[in-house]
Amino acid sequence: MKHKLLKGFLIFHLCMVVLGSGLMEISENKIYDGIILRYSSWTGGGFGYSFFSPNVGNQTVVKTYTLIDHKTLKQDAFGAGKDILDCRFSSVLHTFRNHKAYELMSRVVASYIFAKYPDAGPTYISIGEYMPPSMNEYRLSRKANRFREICNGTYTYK
Amino acid sequence: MKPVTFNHAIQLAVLRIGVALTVLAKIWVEFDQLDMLFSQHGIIQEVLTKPLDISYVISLPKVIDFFGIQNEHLFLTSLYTVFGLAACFLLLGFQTKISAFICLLIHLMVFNGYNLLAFGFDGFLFSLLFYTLIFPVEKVFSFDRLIKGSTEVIAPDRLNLYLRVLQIHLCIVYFTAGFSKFGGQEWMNGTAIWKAINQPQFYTELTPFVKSLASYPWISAVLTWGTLTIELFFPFLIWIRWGKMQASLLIGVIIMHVFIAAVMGLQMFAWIMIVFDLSAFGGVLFRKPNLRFLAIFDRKSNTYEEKISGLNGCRN
Repeated sequence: MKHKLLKGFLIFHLCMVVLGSGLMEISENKIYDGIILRYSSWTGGGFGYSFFSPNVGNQTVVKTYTLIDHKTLKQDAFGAGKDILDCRFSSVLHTFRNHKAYELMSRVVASYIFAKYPDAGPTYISIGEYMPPSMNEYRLSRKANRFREICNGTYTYK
Repeated sequence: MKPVTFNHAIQLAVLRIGVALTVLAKIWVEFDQLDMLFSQHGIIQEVLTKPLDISYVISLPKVIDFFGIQNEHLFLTSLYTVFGLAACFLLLGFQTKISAFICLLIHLMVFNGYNLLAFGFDGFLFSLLFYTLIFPVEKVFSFDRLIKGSTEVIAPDRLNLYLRVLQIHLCIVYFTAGFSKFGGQEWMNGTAIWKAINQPQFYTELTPFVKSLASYPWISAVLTWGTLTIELFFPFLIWIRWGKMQASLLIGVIIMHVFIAAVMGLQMFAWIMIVFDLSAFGGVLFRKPNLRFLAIFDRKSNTYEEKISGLNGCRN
């Protein structure tokens, strides 16, 4: 009996894994989504596994230019995968792809910069993505990726 | 060609030890950044966590609110210390169930509270921690077993069931990953790998070398379509016993993950996937097991092997 119950639960678990994986297109239904979300939040079964799909796309990067003590210009980059904080920050940036979210994230970055550099003056924040060269261009001239700005703003600590 | 299953209790030890090492690695890289990552003054603040809060799950911000914790730094440091101790116990197989439960609970709280910061690795760790909790991983190569002096083994039909769940889950993961890519322009025209290695967050010391190779369209296409082929066909071909195909396939996916770790810098993701691969299908690498070696893990290995062989209609 115990074995049958366990077997039943594990079969149910695998069904939830399939349903949550996004393999099957099921019309949007709040109850259905709610069940999958509840189940995955407690068991880890029911997440999507569609990495880099349908295309790889360009990852978003935030660059900051901060004037320190009215004389030194400091440049920082976020979302470039330097360490775990940067990788996780990159994950947030990549989740939202709209102007409002970019503005919100710019404020978060600005507050980080002002904490990092207590003598900071204004900071210019530029959000964008790196466009790779074509394979041919790279092979012939080692051409670097080109930064394409999507959103920018200047912030000051008051 | 006969269908085959690859069952051995050692795979459950691989699951437990692999997951514990993953948790320890996660703690190691995150410990210095806890305030920035998981406090209300970090990169994800209340303005974002509140609207995304899910009422029915336990999460880190909720626990902090509920207990009115003022010193978040101290709380997070203590929490991660407990997390680390539980992972060490899990690694050794000491108080295994309690350790697995603590690891799962802390990971679940962090994951649900800050899932904006989560990436694929966290999801897989969550799933595998759940399996570590519900499967009898303490019965293989563990201190719990030594202390109890137990010679009890996992019933072969149960072991069969546990490993089958891991195997099917892994197949769903690969097939979904391959299927969702299939039809994507970059995956179809063979430029996806070129595009991926050009992303700044995946830059490693090997990137210039790999870029110089992948700038030849045919090399990029081979790598892109190779990845797609492995992901799409692994879930089907791994079940077919034909020469050394199963072992080659398993080694193929492991090489793919090692490539991802070395070239794209996604070491944690690669590691958890290798743990998943080996705990689900590691048995294919040991078709002719060394019984003396297995006896270290399982004192009744001879009879046990016979029972499993009888169940599966074949020998591992």
